[in-house]
Amino acid sequence: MKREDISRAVGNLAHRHILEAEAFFEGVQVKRCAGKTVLKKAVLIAAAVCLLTLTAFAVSIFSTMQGDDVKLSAAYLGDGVVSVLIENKSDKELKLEPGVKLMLGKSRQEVEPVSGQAEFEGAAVPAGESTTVTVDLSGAYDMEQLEQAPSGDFYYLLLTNDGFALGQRWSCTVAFHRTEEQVPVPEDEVPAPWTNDPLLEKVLLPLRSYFENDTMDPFRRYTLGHEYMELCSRILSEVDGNIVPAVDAGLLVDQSGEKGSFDGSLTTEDQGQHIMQNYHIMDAYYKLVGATDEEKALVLSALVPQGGESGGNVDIPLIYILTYETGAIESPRDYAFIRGQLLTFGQLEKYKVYEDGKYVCYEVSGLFYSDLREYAEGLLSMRKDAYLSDDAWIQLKNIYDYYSDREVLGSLIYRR
Amino acid sequence: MDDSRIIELFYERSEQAIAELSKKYGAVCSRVARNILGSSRDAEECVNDAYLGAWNTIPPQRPDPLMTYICRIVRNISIARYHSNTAAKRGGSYDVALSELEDCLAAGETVDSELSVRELTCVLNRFLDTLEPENRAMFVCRYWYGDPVSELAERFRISNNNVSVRLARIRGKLKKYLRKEGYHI
Repeated sequence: MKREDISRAVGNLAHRHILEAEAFFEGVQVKRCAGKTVLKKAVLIAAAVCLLTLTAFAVSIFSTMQGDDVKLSAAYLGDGVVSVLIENKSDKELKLEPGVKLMLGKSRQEVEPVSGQAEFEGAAVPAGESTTVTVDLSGAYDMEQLEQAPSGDFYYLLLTNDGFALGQRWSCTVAFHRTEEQVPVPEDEVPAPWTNDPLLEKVLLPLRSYFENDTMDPFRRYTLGHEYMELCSRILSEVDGNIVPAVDAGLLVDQSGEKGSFDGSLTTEDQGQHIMQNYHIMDAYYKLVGATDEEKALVLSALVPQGGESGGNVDIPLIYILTYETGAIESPRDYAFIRGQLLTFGQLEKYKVYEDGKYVCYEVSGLFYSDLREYAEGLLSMRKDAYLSDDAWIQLKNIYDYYSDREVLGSLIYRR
Repeated sequence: MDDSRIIELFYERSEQAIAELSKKYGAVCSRVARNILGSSRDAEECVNDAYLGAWNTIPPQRPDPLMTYICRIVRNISIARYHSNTAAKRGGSYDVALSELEDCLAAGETVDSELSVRELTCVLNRFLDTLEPENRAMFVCRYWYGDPVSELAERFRISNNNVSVRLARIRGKLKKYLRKEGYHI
């Protein structure tokens, strides 16, 4: 039986087995948590005893989280709906109970609902992560009234992990006027390490913010990517000229080492262990290479030691190659759109490394980063388990020097 | 959020559907893709493609359970990418896991490949029913989710060696079971 068939047969296993396996582990985790709960209960009983004598210090003694551990920020989305970004910076999971209170700032009195209750489903925020939840006040309050800011006062929301009476409480101010721009931005959305890179100035101005910020949240990246594609589509539709998309033509770089080597001391087999290649729609910082998620770059990555004693490797995307159908390029004034930049094929000529009857390839790593060392260190700084050791740097530099030689690279490209 | 509510959001064509899908099943999807591809970057692209796949197929579909539906899409996309990247590094968790099964099944006689895949799935399902729940979970995690041995060891709280031995025994049992079912292994 063929390997692919085995994979397909396993892939079609019954739902019940797949779900059971996942649930089995949740069960194991639940058991672990249950163990902790027993311990927690014992601690709570002991704490209750202490409570009799230490009431005044109860909050600080029994709190499982410090005030700085959790940060809330709210933005009013309109129609009574408030978006709240919860950032849990602690090493414990934060569980917020359903229920929310709207408070007045100065008096610290609850604003009594007109009818019903404000809706908040509760949330569980894993340690070190952030999440955005919504609070719906529309069923409980006269929003028109709330939208008139109280004179000299302010509103804030109160959430709790274990009842408003005894649990810990977290608050965030909220202004009830529609300000979509105020949608909270997660704190992990930090300036990308290469924000100061001069390359950023070459990116089309409306698209620059996409490249300026980085986020560790994959879903946030996904939505930012889609917003970027929409913006690209609008901007490029107004460009007077033919914009040619990059394609995955199945071209690859020969890494057998038979035609040459980036390190003469390595055997051809060993050389293959230090490089890998894939077609990607995103660059090393998870930013789209082209204007759509169909444009791909062939990315040649170096596998270098991740430093420390782990003995593992880390991949650093080094060489970006974009391929275009020659038949689609009508004139040197036609455009390619690469990492936020519009470039004519005339301008790209200096990057050309390969051309056959059907395809033309450009090695455009210079459009993705300008300083190799800064780029590599910036990438590795995003990981806690890796750093650029001297050995890794030498290896990286060797690989870069070898493959960035356009003549060498061109001679290694082949169609699979 | 309940799966049914997430599916309703898909039917309403609300983009919140993907946010909720990601919130609920993003981690397991990433795990499956990462185990197959060995690269977080590749995995993220495949998971995003899978979300798009779900967006394009719900409606008309109303998958139940949703988790296996989205995970299957992720798995298929990841495997397709794995095969398309012929020059990609091999030797990842998925590759090793597949080799283990290959050793166990490769010599099986087949007449029609499509039929044999379906048949083998049925036999595997029946075989899994004969196992203890813990062994069944271990088998599925290793060969469906592609979890590396070290991760299984951590999850089952046993040593790496112990996981390898147990998996080898399960494969041995599978081999016997297949012979009993008429496969010539």
